[in-house]
Amino acid sequence: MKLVQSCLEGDCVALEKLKADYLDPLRGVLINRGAYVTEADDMVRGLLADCIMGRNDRGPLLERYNGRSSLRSWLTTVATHALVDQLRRRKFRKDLVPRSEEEGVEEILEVLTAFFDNPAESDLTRLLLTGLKAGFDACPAEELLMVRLVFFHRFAQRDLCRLWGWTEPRVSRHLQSAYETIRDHTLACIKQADPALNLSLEDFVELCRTHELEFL
Amino acid sequence: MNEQLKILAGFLEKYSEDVVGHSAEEPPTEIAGRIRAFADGRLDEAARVKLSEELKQNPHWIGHLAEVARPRGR
Repeated sequence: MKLVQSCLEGDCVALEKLKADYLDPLRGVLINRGAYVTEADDMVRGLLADCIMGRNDRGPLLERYNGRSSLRSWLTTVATHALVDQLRRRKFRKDLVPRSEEEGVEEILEVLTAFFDNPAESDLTRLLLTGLKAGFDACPAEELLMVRLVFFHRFAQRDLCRLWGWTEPRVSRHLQSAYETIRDHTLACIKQADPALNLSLEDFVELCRTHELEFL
Repeated sequence: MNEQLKILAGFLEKYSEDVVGHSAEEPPTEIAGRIRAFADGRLDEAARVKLSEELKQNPHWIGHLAEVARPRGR
């Protein structure tokens, strides 16, 4: 939070650190997740501008950071949101001439503003939810019931042992199997919905964690 | 595994009541009887699988199961 505060106060050293340690590395993350090099450059440049400068009647992006997740995770989530939007636009823009550099940055800033205004309705949120629902739907009924009891109703594994009349290792195996089904089908659904977006399970989990901590 | 699944479930919990099944809607009498039997460990495997399928289709009954089956004192 200290770095964020210093950046908001216009401290040049802090701003340089923000750029070098947090924003520049996002370029690689975005490219790994499916951005073209020029798109990644646009997005990082747009993020830098929006992080430190207000626009129209809105304050700098960094004012929205509440410190419940790491700054790196927060920026990665924000950048991934911009990427998801960019990939969606790319699908519909194949025949259009490339935008100018200025237009690209401006649009990304617009996207981020819309995201912060209503994160629950964002493309990224919808994508995460669609993937997760597909993962849960794919679970066999008994395993899904176990998952629901443990994670939504706070049952312990030993409670499941009592209900099912199973040993703890057997319950554990079924929960593991449920996890693998959810993981595989969630990622498959994301890939199907947006083939250009590359997310690992770790990326996906981190996005969900940061999203929940910071934006809900 | 548990930690990752906990995060994913937590995210879903925030957004999707239809998947989570937190409401404790009273199921029809016949279903409630089988839920009671399951909570008491009196369902055989076939009956348990059938009930699980019905709960997957009707997650709004899972809250009732959770109430009935939750250990006393929790």
